[in-house]
Formats: sequence, structure tokens, C-alpha cells
Amino acid sequence: METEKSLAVENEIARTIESTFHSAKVRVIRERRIEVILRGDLLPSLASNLKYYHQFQHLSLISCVDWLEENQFELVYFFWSYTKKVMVLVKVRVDRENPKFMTICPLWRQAQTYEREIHEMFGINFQGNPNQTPFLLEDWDTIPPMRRDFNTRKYVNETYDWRPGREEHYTPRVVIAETYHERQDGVVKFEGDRVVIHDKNGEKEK
Amino acid sequence: MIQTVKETTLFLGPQHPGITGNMMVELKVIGDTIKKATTHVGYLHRGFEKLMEERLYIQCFPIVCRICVPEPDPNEENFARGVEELAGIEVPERAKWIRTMVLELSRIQAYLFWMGGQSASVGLYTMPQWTIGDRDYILDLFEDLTGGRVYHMYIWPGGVRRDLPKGFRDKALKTMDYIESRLPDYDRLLFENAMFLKRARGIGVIDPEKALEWGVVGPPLRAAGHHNDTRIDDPYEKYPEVDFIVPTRSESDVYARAMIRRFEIEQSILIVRQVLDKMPEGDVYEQIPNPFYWQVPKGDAYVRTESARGEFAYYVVSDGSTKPRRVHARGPAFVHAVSLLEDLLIEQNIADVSMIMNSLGTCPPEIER
Repeated sequence: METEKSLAVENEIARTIESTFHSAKVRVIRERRIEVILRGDLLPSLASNLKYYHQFQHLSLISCVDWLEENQFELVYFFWSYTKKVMVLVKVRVDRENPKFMTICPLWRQAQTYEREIHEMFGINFQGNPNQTPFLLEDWDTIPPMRRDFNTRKYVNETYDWRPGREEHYTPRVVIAETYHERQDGVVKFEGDRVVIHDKNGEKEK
Repeated sequence: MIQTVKETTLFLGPQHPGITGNMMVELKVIGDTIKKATTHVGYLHRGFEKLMEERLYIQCFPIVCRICVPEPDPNEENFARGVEELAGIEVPERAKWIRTMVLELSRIQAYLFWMGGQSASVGLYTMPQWTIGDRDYILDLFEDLTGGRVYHMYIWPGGVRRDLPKGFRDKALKTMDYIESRLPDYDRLLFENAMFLKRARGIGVIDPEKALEWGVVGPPLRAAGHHNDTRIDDPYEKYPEVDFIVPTRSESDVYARAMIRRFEIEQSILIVRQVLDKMPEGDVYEQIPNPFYWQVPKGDAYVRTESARGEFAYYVVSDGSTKPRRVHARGPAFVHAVSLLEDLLIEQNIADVSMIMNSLGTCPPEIER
């Protein structure tokens, strides 16, 4: 009973979204969280609807998830209402082959930075975004790094030289075990600033 | 005689004492007045989010706390809570109280750190010596509690790593009394300082009507007259059970933001005292599956915390494997230091740049991650 009462606001917002956008799949996840799975082309209209009619003033984040197996990107928009204390997660899918989407810069100016970063990290082209120049990376000439098929280790091995003694197969634990292998049967003791190894027969060895 | 107007480009940073961290602001100036500002980041990009995709959940904890250097605890708490929400783990009561206390101690030390930076940005170099020194007493508490001074790796899924050590309560209360007794000194040296008043008032004003939709969060939002705090709006841990006031002001300038932070130190001290009084006995850790083979159920979670600079949030996506599919950290500086700062700096004086940056709580590590 109490949970039903506390979800009243969430259910009402979910119902309003469902009745306005019939194709949207709306689900109340928990208290103060609503998930909307939306057809891509409806996002700008849902965003402006939420902002101007339902007091979702705050764009908290735009995130992107790479679903490589399904050959799609998922863009997730997080809108928070300060008056209703509810967050709506709007999820849209973008084709991975030719990724492009619409910008929401005219509604929230901070969306420009989020979209600029997603463009750099995932390669999604936001049409209408005024500035999609490189944000964090410099002279990046291969596939965008946050895609799942970008192999960090392979890229590093091909691009950079390893420092001598720090090759890829270098694992500190193995090296330590090998270095001290022959001394494992002895006992290592510190005498002043010297390391003295006592073997099983009690003989000292420096 | 005809005076020619010449626009000059000035690069502030990445090595500059007035810049908070490794970032650069490119300024187009005429005389002393800024006509255009552009933020350049990328000096600190370490690819944490990509690293985490190739690590087990438990291996992510040493990474998340490095995302924000001056205030690592909201990261740990956020990520832990996100994983708990995905896996459906209920945290013991005592662990929640301890988390609340750690977050508040972290807030106080972050504000003391900020106070040093803010006063140094106007040339008051005694304050950093005092506040950074006093911050060390809180780091001592963290060292007792967690073993680490700056990065703690203390909060993890299921609770916290260990219980309070013996005598911690008395030591924490003593430290809180000490910090409280120091506040009048800070007032005399910084907040009532005629020079700071003259320089900080009316500078870097954020339009209060636009603040909400511009994505302003935390102390700058409250300084613009909006009574919004994630601890109250989207409550987490034990904040609904403690009493505190969320201060607001209406001026929305550098001085208002400074005063908001100054009053929040007092509130955080009150919260820490309440937590130490109300904390029940019990377990601090709920058993989780073996972290090396732990397959977190499929789903996603968005969790938010009020950090010292504003809303800090994590988006954690799991595809049912042992490693996270995607972890996205949302820091307040991503908005404050790029779109907001570029706008606020226009028509300001070059000398005020670092003061405005400090008052917005700019922190490049959380922009770049």
C-alpha cells in the first residue's frame, strides 16, 4: 500500500508519456526512476515536451552504450525534474553502421558538450551540433576508442614502443618468483642494512 | 590620435597556479577584458571508463576513486550503490550510517581544500596554509578508518570494508570541535576580509532564472536562490534520518557561492555528530558472491550523490557478465567548466578568471575521466 502511494507521481508521469507518445514503452523502475524506450525520431519532441510541459528542467547526462552484438548504439538521456523529484531515462537506439542522430542543443546548451564527447568516443554524428571538434583526444586516426571492438591492448602494442624490461609479458609476480626461486628454501633476514640469507644448514650467505 | 583595438590570445594553463588542475582556458582579450573564452581539456584523459570495461567489478574500485582527486568518496559510494542496485543487495544499517559519515567528512575536507584554492586565487596566501593543515586532521581520521589518506577504497558493494576502529568516535568528535573552533578564524581571514568582499561581490553572476536549465548544480545553484540538494531531492543512505539545513542565497556571485560552502561546513559537522550518536551496532558488511566469479544481473542503474561541487552520478550498465558493460561518471565540472565557464568569463577581467573557476568547483579529472 505504501509503495503504491509513493509511486503515484511516477505512475502519473508514465501515463502522460504513454498517452502522448503511443509507440513509447514506459516502465517505472523504482521510486523516482522512469524508463522510456523510444523510437529515435521522437526524441526531440519528447525532450521538449518533458521540458516545457512537465518541468523536467535539468538535463543530467547523455550517455551512450555500445551493443555490438545487436549492431546498435543505445543513447540514454537523463532528465530530472526539480519540482516533481523524478528522473526519466529515455533510451533510443541508433544504427551502428552509419550512426547519426539529432541534436538537442537548442533545448539544453550543455547537451553540446555531451554530444561532442559521444561523437568523439563512439563516432555518432549529431546533426545540428555546432561544434563536434575533438574534445579529449589528439590526432586520433583510428576507430573511436569507446566502441567495444576497439582493442586497447592491440592499439598500444602497435602504436607505442615498450620501455626495455617492461614488455607486455612482464608480470611482476612471475619475475619476483623467478628471481628468488633458488632462495626460497632459505630464510631471508635483515641485519642492519644488509640482507643475509640463512640456508637450511644454518650457513650464512651474503 | 587613433587608438587601435587589438585582440590578443592568452593561454591560461595547463601549467598555471590559478587553474584548478590540468586544463587550459584560451582567452581572447582586448586590454584586460575577456571577449571570448574556450575551454581546452585532454591533458588528463586516462580512459577510466574504457579500463573498467575490461575489469571485474571489484577491480573497478581502485579506479573509480581516482576519477576525482580532491573528493574521491562520492565516486566509491556511487559505484557501490549502482552495483548494489543492479544485484539487489541490501546494505546493513550500520554500513549506511558509516557511509553517510564518510561522505560528510569528505565534504568537509573538500571544502577546506577549496577554501585554500579560493583564497589563493585572490592572493590571500595564509589561508591555504591553515586550511590544508586543518584538512590533514580529517585525513588522519580517514587513515584510522580506512588505511588510506586520500584514496580509500573503503566503500564497496555490500557495505564498507571494516568497522570503526577503537576510539574513532572520540577522535572524530574532537576533530569536529576543532574544525568548528577554526571557522571564526576563517571568517576573519577570508569571508569578512575587505579585499575578498570587494573582489568577489558581483563577479561571475549566474542568471538565477537560467541556472536550472543550464545544468548548474550544487553550491552555485543554491547561491542562485534554488533550494535544491540531491541529499534531499533524491535521498540516499541515511540522509532522510538526519537533520540539516540547505542554505540558499540570492546574489549568485562568487561571494554567495563562498558563503554557501562556508555554511555547509557547519551543517556537515552537525551531520557527522548526529551520525556518530545515532549509529546502531551491527554488521557493516553484507556477504556478496565471490567477486572473482560474480556475474551481476543484466540491467542498468543511475545513482546520484551530492558531492561538494554538486550532483555526482554514475550510470552502470551490466550485460550479465563478470565485467561492467559500461560505466559513465557524471561530474558537475563537465557542465560547470565547459559551457558555463565559457559563458561566465565573457566581459570579465583576466585577474578574475581563477577566482570564478574556483568558485564553480572546476575539476578537470571528472571532465576527462
